[in-house]
Amino acid sequence: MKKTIPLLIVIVGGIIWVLWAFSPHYLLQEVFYNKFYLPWSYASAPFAMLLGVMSLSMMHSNKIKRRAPKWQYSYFFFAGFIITALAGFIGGTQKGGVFMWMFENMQMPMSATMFSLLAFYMASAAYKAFRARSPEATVLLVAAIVVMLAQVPLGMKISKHLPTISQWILDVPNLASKRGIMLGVGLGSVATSLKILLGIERSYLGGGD
Amino acid sequence: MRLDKRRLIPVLLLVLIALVSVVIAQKQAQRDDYVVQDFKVEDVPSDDGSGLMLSWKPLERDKRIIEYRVYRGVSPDQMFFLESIQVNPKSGVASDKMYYYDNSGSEFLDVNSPGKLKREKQQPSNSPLFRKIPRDVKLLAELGKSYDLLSVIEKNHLYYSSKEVYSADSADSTAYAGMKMNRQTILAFLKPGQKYYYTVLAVNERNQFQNFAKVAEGSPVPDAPDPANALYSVLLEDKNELRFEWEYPLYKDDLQQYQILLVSGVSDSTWLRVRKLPTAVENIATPIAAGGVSQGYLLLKNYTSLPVDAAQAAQMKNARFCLQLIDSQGMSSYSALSTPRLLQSAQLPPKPNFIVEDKPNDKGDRLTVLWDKPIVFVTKTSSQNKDNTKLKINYQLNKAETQKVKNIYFEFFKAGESNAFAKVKEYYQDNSIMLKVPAGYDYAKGFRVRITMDTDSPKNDYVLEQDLLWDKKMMTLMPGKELYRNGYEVSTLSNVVYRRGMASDTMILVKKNTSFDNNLDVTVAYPTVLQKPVYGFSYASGDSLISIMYNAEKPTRFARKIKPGENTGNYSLVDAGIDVTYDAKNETSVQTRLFPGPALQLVKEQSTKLGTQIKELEANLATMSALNPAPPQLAKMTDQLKSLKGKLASLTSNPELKKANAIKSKNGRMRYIAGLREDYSRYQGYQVVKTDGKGMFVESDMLLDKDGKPVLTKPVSNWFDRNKFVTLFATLLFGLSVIIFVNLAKRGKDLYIRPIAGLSEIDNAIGRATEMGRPMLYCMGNGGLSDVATLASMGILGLVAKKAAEYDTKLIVPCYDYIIMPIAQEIVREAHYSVGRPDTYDKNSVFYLTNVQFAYVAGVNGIMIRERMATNFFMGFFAAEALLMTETGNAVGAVQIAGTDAITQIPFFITTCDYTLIGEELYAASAYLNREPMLLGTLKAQDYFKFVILSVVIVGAILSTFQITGLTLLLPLK
Repeated sequence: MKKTIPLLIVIVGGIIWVLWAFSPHYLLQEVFYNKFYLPWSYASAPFAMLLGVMSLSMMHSNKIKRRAPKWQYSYFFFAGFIITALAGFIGGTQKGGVFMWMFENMQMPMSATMFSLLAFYMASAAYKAFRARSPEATVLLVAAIVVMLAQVPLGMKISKHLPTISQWILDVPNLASKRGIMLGVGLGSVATSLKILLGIERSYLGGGD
Repeated sequence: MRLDKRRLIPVLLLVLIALVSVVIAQKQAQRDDYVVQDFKVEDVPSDDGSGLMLSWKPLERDKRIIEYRVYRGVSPDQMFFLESIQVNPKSGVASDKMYYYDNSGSEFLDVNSPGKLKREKQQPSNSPLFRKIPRDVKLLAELGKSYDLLSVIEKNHLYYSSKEVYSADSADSTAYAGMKMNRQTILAFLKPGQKYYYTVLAVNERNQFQNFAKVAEGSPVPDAPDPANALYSVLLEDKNELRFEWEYPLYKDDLQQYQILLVSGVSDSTWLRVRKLPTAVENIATPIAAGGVSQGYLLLKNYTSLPVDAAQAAQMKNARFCLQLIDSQGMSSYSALSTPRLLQSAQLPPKPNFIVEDKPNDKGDRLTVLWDKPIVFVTKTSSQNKDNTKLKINYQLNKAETQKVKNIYFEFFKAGESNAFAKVKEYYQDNSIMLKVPAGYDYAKGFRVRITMDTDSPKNDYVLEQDLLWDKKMMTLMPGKELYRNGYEVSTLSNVVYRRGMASDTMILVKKNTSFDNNLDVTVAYPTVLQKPVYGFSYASGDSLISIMYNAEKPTRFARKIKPGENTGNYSLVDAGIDVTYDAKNETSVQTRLFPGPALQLVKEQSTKLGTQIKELEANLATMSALNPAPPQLAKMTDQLKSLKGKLASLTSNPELKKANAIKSKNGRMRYIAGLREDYSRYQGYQVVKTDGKGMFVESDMLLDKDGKPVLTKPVSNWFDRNKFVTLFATLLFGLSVIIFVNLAKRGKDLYIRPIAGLSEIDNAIGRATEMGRPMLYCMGNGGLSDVATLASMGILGLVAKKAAEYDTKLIVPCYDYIIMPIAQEIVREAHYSVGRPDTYDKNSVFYLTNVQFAYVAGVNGIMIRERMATNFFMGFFAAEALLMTETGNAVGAVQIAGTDAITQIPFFITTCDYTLIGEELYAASAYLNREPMLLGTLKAQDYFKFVILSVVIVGAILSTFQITGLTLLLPLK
């Protein structure tokens, strides 16, 4: 029973979504989707978020209680959480408020810092990838050099054909392999959806039967 | 003097006070500097007296203003927030003046209105500025006296939530529909002659409200409309017919009527002076035609024709005409004079033929008006090489969804030549073709292109031609303005679509289309809201019912004792009348009231009233007939009598109304009425008019049914999108193959599944963590529950968690999505229970981290480093965070297994992880690891179906090479 009812909900919901995908009818597109599904999904999302916040708070309070390694950092979580929430609730989230100030001057620079690290990681990943240890890796190295050179003015100086070759690499072999993966992904998605719809795949219900 | 501790404190205090004073004074000075200057309120010219124009000088860019907030009130000591005008603080306002037009419905009350009166933010207690008008019925009723109010009500709120409310005026027995304040949006329109007060204040990017501008007052005044931009007249000599067509001025919302005047005895220059004096115009102008201009905001036909006899036609050749536009206040304007062009009816454009069809594959809110075959035209050209010998020509194909075009043929001619130098057959329409320019020809001389098509109609029964001319600015060949259809230049002609409803035969303008269009999709929306004027407000005060009513000559307050059982909430009062259907037999709209009791009362009252009117009219008609009146007068009275009789018959015998009135419950009755009214209101009739915009117009015939009545069409809501037949077929085929392979697997057939290295290594990776005594990390990416990758990841999590529980290895699952978290917790918990280790389950090891992308990365990386992970799993959908996490994992020496369907991240995973599941391998993981026959069956079916797709791709490519596009066109593009 514990699994049957959720399974029934999933199957019925799944069938409605299949119908929604194939039918443009007013009842499905307007009455079901716009008037029923969207408002309910908006209404239920905050409750799920509350669960998330509770989970995070419990984890950090446990860490503090147990004096787990680096437990002091958990205070930063509570400080950040409380200050941001208060700033949002009291001053609002509009531009000019404390919340937006914190977002623009703290969160955004920190995110930008993390993002900028990507450049260095990419360089190190490229180094690993481009070591010509096998014929495949050599092909990859040559293709990458051509594509990279074609992106900069120097490439045009070396050869006027370089941008054309680069574009060909991107449009033909690269796109072909991408499409191959995409076809697999598309079919896999349909297969997974079918498995869920037919009740074959139940792992999302939380483990075994 | 020694500065000891006792003296130091007062000195420091003094310094502090001085400092604070300086800061406050500076702030004050700054606020004064930031006040908007030159704030003026003026009447909007040429309007109906419901508009005021506000203008002010915007503050300099360095003040970093982000918005100007406009406030309005009916007294200078209480003004409410009206509108916010957003400004880019970086660029500021480029113009010297800013304008705000208060000439349309502004929000008076809506869902965002505060519950009670609230002063504006950062304002002192004596400030006259308040936030939006609150939902305080007393204040609303008081303010409502100074505006015309219109309530916009969601249909279900009006049908089912409105209350039967009566005014406190004992002389008024009307049942109003009482709407609660939170069940409607009320719009306010300015009243002519009423005084309004305005101010505006600037808000800088630190959200600081500056001082408001000096309060200015204004009073809207009705003005005469602007004259028509142009009047064109044509005399068709062979048909003795005068034709007029005109262009309306910019502001035309309050125009009610037009008159064509025959003007005599003035020169053009004198007329320009005389037309400003209506009394003088009356002496020299004679009306010869008249009609309506608009219905609400909807425009009617802007042309008319008038038959004349031969003698009059001769006189009219040199006559001059003007167009008089009359607004709702009765004020007029007169256009410049127009002398008719003398033309023959053969010069008229061809009569348009059109059909109206339901737009296929939609939810039933669109119709297609189709007046022509598909039209193809060149939009631009671009040279593809230095020598200009290769041209890319972009074209556009305009056709309705139901029209088919198989091939398009382009023929290119050099300037002045009649033999085509190039022919291109476009068998797959991708909106571009390539043209080889003949060697030695200077392509800047241009070409002529002739276009024909294979359509549903007979082949080549019409030809389209365009000239491609050298454009200096664009430095390429561009199509000229002209479009020739069978040699006839059609680019100056427009196809104007008009429509009518079921209840009225008045044609309303939908859209003016160019000759490059051959169809128009007209939206016939499902009714969602109803608009009703607010007649007043009603509320209870103690044991009294108070009503402020606006529907008398002047707003009046009424009070009386509340009757037992009476509705006494806070209500706005709107008309309770509603249309039910159109009675085609009696040619009248059927009206009723929202509430059963008043609806029956209406039938009774109206029947008596109509009966009396009919008797009176019949008596008058008998008297008139004896006096031998003019036939038109008699006909008018007869029509009037017929209309009254029709209304009475409809009221007493219309079956729908009778059925509605027989239903006792309000909601049941309204459900029935809603079904009727929402259905009939969506029937539309159409007409297409082809015109040159200058009096040469031809109307299409009205579409009539076999009984000679106009055809009215209602869009149909389709149950199936026919563009998705192939998709459905493929899905069913795939579903069938899944079922077949699942059954084969169930029967014990050994299904071979190719080995996937990443999955085989999962056990080893878990074993390694166990041996090292370090935890494992399982990251489900940043996808939501609706992502298939996340669902697949959940399956793998269950298996990994089982092994981890078996070996007593700690598994940490930081979640990106708070909806995923409880599911992940449940999966891990179930895994621990299933291997008999519920004691080792720690809820806190599966937790929500954050849904901010890089904050999540920071969190996960921190965990990886602190906990010194032995194994990392990255399964799900990933974006830019993938590499940041896997490189960190690499740095801490963890074995990493990743799987994703995000194509952009696969290379990063391959580079930095030990094993990677690419795309569909991730989806297959659950089946592969479980080795369950049912899951393996789906995997096998998936592989076979991939083979089918590959075959279709190859066959399609081969067929397309031989210009056979059937298969390509069969497959949907999206």
